[in-house]
Amino acid sequence: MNYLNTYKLSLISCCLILLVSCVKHPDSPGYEYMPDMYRSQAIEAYVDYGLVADVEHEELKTTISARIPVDGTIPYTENKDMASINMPFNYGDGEQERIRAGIEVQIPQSYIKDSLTADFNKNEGKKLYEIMCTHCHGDKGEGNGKVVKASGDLIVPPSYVSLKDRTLGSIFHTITHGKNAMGPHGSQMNKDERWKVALYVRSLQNGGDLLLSELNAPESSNDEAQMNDN
Amino acid sequence: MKISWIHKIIQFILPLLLIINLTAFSQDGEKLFKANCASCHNPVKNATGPKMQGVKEKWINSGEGELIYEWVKNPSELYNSGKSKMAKAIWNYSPTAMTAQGHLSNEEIDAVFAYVDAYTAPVADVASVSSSSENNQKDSNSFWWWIIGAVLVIIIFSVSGVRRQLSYALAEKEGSPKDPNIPTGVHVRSWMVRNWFAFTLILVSVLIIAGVELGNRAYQVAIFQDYQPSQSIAYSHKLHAGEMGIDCKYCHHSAVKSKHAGIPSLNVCMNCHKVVHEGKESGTEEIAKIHEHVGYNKDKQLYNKDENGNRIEKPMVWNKAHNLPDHVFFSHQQHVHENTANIDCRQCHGPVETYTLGRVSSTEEINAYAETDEGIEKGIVKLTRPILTMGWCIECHNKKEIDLTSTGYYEEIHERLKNRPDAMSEIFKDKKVTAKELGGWECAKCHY
Repeated sequence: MNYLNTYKLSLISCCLILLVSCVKHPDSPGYEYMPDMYRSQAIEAYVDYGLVADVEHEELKTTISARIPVDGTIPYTENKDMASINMPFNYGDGEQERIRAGIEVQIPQSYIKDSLTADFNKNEGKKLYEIMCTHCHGDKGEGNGKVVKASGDLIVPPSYVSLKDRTLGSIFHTITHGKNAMGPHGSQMNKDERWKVALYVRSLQNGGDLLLSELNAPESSNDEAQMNDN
Repeated sequence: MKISWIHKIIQFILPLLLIINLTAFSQDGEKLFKANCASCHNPVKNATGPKMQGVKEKWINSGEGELIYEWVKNPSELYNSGKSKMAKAIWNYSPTAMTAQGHLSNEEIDAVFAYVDAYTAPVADVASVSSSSENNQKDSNSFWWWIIGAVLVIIIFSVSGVRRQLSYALAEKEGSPKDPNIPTGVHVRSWMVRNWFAFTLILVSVLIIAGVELGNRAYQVAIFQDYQPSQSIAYSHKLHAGEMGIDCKYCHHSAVKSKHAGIPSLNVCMNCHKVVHEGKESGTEEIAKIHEHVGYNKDKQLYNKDENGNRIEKPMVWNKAHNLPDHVFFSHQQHVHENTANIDCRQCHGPVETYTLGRVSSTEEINAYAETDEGIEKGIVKLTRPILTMGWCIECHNKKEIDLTSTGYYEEIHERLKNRPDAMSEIFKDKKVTAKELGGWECAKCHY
């Protein structure tokens, strides 16, 4: 009699414990209809292959899956101008390289072949600038973006107007590799986009206009003098 | 009398003039600091360059008060000359060499240091980031309810057991012992026969409730509304996208180029966090996690490298919040790129700038956002079906109007339609063009 009762009680409590253990895992998205139709068997970006058929594979979880392209690979395009723009930018990180790029690199002619094209590219650059740069450099490149204010003026980007002597090549290098507190943005924008942003930055330095004549002639700058010094 | 008046006025004005002069001096220092130094130095915090407050005093204390001007004007020359100990000490502060400020005069340098030494940090206007402790609280609450429920059930069963044994004992005492070996099932069955009406009522209502519940549950399967998984770094969209106004496409930059919006790689974080090391609340620890995974030494401002010169990095594991089944093809580029649909991110993701971690929004939330001025300006469409379901997708394809005059993809579609007047008149019958009318409801558009 007593045995039966204890047996029943333990059975009931076991069932209850089972029920309690049915709490949903906080990171579980919930139920799916046909998991085999949800999960790609082929490799897809951002799919966790560390967890296949409920078996965890620690080594797959902890190897880096987001990778950078092989050195020297060039995106394919049928457009000849674009193909030449996509050629590798052979300037490394650092101040010396920036100065060298500023002297040696010119904006590709296809961007500024006439004022209409230049204006179009400048406006494309404006759209990109508003996504990529405004939050630090400010709408007009005065170095008063919201991030700067929110960080309590930890670092204040210099106003573009004060850097008028920078060539477009130098601006392109700065966007690609970063400078001082600014990080490299080469991974976020391709070369085409970087040239467009550089054009827009130049127009901000001139109060919104592009001076086509000065874009082609490399200015003699402080940078050049500094390069010769070193 | 007159002279003393003038004397008094002079006595009053002279100090005033002096004060005005002084403020002009320090404003000058502020201007010079902002123009020449602020892109690397903060007065009171270490950044790309070391903090500047009290630096002049240090140089004077080490007996090199005059050399500081030389340092500012040309750091590398002073370092190479080897005559300054201070220059040697700070030369390796960071891998970025200080830019020579040769155009500054000694007075201007003094003005800069006067401004810096008098500087007090403004209180940064960063609102607090709410933590996820609220959620945890809720979970542990429901756990305790389960325990209490279990205890109550056990008590009920044991009490009824005692009651039954007592009734046996009572029956035995009265001389008509019940057979204790009659199984419980027989009792239950005899109860059912005796109270057949109540039993049928209970049975029917239980069946109805179970059926409705089952149906509801079945509708909840594969609906991921409000799903907010934990992440390796407690990143706050509210802070970055909301208060700092960073565009969605700055971090999720592949949204306009690729099928995937992309989880930003850590180098995107490092664009700012190579100098920003501190945050509000848990921010400082979370930023330290970025540095740990990307292998960044914030004191030396260098990335850790092994003996072969390769970076030492650890992968970051993120939990995916928005997941479409493999049998659906969805491309962010088609929907976000300005030459195609040009839809605002919030149409599908809701007001992300008010969330902390990435989270699947809900249809109600997006509808509420669509009614705000911002939502109307962005042309957010109100929908009824649950988020991330097929009904929701095709509802929008049916409702959202398309501007055929826009450049790019629809321009091309428009040109093609011009050759087919019958199709054109069919589409324009209701005076608006939707994705459905241009093939947005074709099965093979998404399922292939």
